[in-house]
Amino acid sequence: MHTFSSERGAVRAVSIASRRALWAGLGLAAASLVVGLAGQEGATGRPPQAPQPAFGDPVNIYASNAYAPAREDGEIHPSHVRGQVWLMTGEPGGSNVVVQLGDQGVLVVDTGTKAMAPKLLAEIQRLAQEHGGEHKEIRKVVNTNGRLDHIGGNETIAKAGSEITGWNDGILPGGERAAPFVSPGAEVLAHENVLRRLTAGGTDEFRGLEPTDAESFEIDNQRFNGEAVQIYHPHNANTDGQLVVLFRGSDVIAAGDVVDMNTYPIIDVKAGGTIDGELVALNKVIAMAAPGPLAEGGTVIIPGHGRACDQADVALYRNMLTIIRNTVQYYKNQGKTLQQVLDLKPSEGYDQSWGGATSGSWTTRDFITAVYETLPAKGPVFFSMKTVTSVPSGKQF
Amino acid sequence: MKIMPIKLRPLWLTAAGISVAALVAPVAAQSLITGYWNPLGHQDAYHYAGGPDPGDFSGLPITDAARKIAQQYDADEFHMRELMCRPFPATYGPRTLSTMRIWETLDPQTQEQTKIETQMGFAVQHRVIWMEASHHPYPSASEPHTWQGYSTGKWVGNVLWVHTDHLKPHYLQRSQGLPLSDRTTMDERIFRYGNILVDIMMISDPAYLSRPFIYSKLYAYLPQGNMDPYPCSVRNQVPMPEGHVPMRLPFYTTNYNAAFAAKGIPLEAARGGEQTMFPEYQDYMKTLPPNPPYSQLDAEQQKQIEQQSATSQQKFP
Repeated sequence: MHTFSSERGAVRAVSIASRRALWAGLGLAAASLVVGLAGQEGATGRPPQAPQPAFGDPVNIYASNAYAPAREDGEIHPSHVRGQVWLMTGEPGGSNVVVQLGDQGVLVVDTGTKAMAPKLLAEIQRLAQEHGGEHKEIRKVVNTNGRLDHIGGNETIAKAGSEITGWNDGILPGGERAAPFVSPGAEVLAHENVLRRLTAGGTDEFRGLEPTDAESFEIDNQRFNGEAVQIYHPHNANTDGQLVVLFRGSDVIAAGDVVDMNTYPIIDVKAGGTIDGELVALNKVIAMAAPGPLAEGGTVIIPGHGRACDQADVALYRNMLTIIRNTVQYYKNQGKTLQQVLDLKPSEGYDQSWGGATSGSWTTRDFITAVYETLPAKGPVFFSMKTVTSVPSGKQF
Repeated sequence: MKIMPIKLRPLWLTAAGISVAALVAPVAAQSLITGYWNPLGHQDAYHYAGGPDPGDFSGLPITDAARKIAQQYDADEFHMRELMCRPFPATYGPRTLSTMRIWETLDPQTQEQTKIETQMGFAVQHRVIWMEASHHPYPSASEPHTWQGYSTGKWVGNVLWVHTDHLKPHYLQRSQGLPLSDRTTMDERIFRYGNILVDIMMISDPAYLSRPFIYSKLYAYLPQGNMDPYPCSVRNQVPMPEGHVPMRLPFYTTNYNAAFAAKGIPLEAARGGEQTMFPEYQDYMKTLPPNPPYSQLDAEQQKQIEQQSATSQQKFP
C-alpha cells in the first residue's frame, strides 16, 4: 500500500486513480469491441448460424452427417465384410448377395433378382478385378433357396463365369503346362429340392435359373479359395431347399432367408417351410457362430434381407419367433381355429418392428397362418430342439 | 506492494479486458468433463435399485405393443447363453449405478476434439462419441448395430449435445422386459456444474414409446477413480434345453396383481402410458378404485387368478 504526505499525496493519488480509470476504460472499450465483432460475425461475411433447436428437442441434428448411400437406390453397393467375403446390397426389394474372392476365382451366394442381374454382374467383376486373387472368373454360385429374389440372376451371373472341369497334366512343346479343361458357365449349386420345385410345374417360367448341381445333403464341406466352406441344409425351414453357408476362415455366415432383419421370416408353406424347421435352422446358425466378447461382434451373419448381424441379434430374433410360436401352439392346443388365433393377435407386440403389413407379398397374417398351419393340433407348447414337431404341407419329395 | 511500471499497464489492462470478453463471448466454449464420475443414486431409486414390480409400468410412455411384450417376459432370458454377457445398452447404462470414465482425443495438429469416449464400470460399456472434427463416416444401413450404438456429438455453448442410433434391440427397463427396438434413438445434453455432471437423456422409439422417455442422471466428480476389468464367461446357470426360450404364456383376462394390491396401486395406473407421466395424473389416480386385497376376492375370482397364474408360469417339461 502506498502512503503519501497530505496535499501532494492526495493530488498524486487522484492522478494515479485517473490514469488507472483511463486505462481500465480503454481496456473495457477494447473488450466491448471484441464482443461486438464476435456478435457481428454473421453480418460481416460469415454465414449466420442456423437457429439451434430448443434445448429439449429430441431431434437428430446430425442428419447431414449421414454419408451412407440410400440402401435401395437402384445401385449395387459392395462393402467388405471380413477376410475374403464381401456383401452386395442396394437392390430394391432384393436379397443380400455375398461374394467370396480368392485365387481360385469368385464364389457368389445368391444372385438377386433378374432385373438387377446386369448391375450385380458388373459390380462383381469390378470387385474381382480390384480385390480378387490370381483368377478373377466367377467359378461357383450357391443358391440358399429357390425363391426368385435369390435365383433371379442365376443365368446372367453363371453365363459370365466358367467352371474348371478337369486339369490337363500334359506339357506342351517348350515346357509350358497345358491349359485346364474349362467349360463355359459357372457351377450353380442348390439343394435338389430347389431343382425339383423349379421343374415341377413343367413350364418354361424358370428356364435358365435352374441349378446345374443339385444335391441332397445335410452338410457339405468344401474348400474354396483357401478356406473351408461349410454348407448346411436345414430341413423344412423357410422352404425345404434352404442352405446356410459358413465361410470358416473369414468367419462369415450367409444365412439366406433363415435370418431376415426386415421382417418375420418368409415361411413358404407350399415349398415345404415350417415354423419348427425355421427355429431349428436359427438355433443351428446360432450354434455355428462364435460370439465376440460381451455378446457383440464375432462371427458376422449376413441375413437374406436387411443389415448384417451377430450371434446376439440372431438369438433375439429366435427368441421373438419362439415366443410367437409357443403362444400359437398354446392357443391351438385349446382348439382355437386359425381365425380365432388371428383375432387374439399373438404377434401384436412385434408387428410394428417385424411385420405389421396388411398387404403385399408377406403380411403378418401370412406369417401367423404359416405358423398355425405347420404346428400340430396338439403339441408341446414350449419349443426346444428336443421337441421339434414340424408339420410340412404341400408336395413333399 | 510494488507499483507495476506504468508502460506495462495498458497492455495488462487490455489483456484483462480481452479475457473478460472471451469469457462473455460464446466462442468454442466447452466444459472439461473428462475424468471419473460417480453416479448419485438417489434419483428414481424405485426404478433402478431393486426395480419396480413386474407389471408396474406406471410413469412410462410405453405403447400397447411394449406392454404386450413385457407381459410375456421372463427374467430367465438373462441366463440364456447368447445373452448372459450382454452389457447394458447406451440408453440404460447411464441410468444405473456404474462409475463412468470420460476421456477425449484431440487432433494433434489442430487441437480440436475428434472424439469423446465414455465407459461405464459394469460390463465395459464403452461408447465413442464422434465429434465433428473427426469427419467419421456415418455407418451404412447394412452394418451391424451395437449395444452402445453410433454416437455423434457437438458443443452448443458449454453443453455437449449427443445423438445416438444404430442400437441393437434392447430394453427400456430390464427387470420388467419393456423393450426398445433397433430404431431407437437417444439425444443427450451433458453439462457440468462445478463438480456435478448432468446427463439428460431423451429416448425415442417409434415402435415402443408414444413419447420420448426423458431422464436425467447426476454424477459427482471422483478425483481418484478407477475402473476394474470385466471378464465375462458363458456358463450354464439355469439349466434349459437347447432352443428353449423363457417366456410367460398369455394371461391377460383379469390383470389382477397382488403386488399392486399390497401397495395400493390401481391396475389402470400400473398399465403405464404417456398419460401416467404427468403430475396431474396423481390427482386422477386418487379417483381410481384400488385393487382389493387377494383375501377380499370371492372364491371364483381367486380360482380364476390361480389358474391364470399357473398358466403364465408354465415351464418347459
